[in-house]
Amino acid sequence: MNTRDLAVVGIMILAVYLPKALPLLLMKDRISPGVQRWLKYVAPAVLSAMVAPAILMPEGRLAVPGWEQAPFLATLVVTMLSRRMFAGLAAGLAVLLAVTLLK
Amino acid sequence: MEWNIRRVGTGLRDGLTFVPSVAILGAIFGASSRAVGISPWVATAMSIFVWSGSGQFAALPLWHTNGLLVGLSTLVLSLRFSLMTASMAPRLAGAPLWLRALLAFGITDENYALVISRRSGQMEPDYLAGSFVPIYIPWIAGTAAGAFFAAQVPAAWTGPLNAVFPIVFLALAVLCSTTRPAAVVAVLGAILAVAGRLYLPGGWYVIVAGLLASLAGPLLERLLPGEERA
Repeated sequence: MNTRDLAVVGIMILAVYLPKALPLLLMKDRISPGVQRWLKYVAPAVLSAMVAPAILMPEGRLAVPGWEQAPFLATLVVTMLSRRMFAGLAAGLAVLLAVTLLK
Repeated sequence: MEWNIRRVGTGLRDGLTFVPSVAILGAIFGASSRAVGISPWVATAMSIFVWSGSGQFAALPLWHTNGLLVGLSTLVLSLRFSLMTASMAPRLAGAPLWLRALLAFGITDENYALVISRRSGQMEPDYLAGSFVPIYIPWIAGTAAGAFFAAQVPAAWTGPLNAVFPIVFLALAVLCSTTRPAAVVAVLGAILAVAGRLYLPGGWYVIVAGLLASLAGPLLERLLPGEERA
């Protein structure tokens, strides 16, 4: 095993752990109401920011909408209507399977 | 804080959704790290101790350059975790320091999404601990299989398998957009991320889009009064 590679892994451990841990460890017991109001919106903002490029630009640039996007549309519509995780997943995976088999 | 074994079980069950895709992604990482010339032991140690899919994949093309450059790209990709754990912090205020330090390691995109869209609106450490297991174990097992046996995933599978993560995240993004301002924030985050992906380097698009869109939330509350469900 080479030492240089292990040292790089060590740097990576810190680079991942510190951003995760610092907000949890440094927080005060009372957080101002303004900050709390902001934090409520972090989840929808971050989740959609992770998912939108993965769906709309799988190759790094905007894709021409096609059957590849059908599973996402099914997931979006079914989850919005049912507000259930399982229904949305089932719809998306079923359409994904259909699109894969029919292509 | 009392530990409820049933909530550990619920977290574990909810995390099971991710097992197949995480295991296969782990195998792809293991095989790719082998191709770059990383020892299977180092690759497996990375999955055990670094535990960040995006960070590990981003390290591969940079591996033989400067080690600090690898660390920097991992750091940029990990900054989004700060947004996530900051949003969890108020709800974990009651937990002791050692537990928060431990839970911080366990947070990843997948279980953050699960925890934040819990119907109870609570952030239970026991649920989090349960959901950690079915994501962590397959990631390590997959990496080891890919690295030691150079497991090849059939090319025909990779496209559809790559679509599984966005499907799960999309469902979770919809579920946590429960109010009208939150739904607008989600759409805004999506638009900004697509624009950011086009014009910003590396993983900055998630951080910039996540930060700007979430900051718009409190302003939108004033424009769209009433906490109606979207």
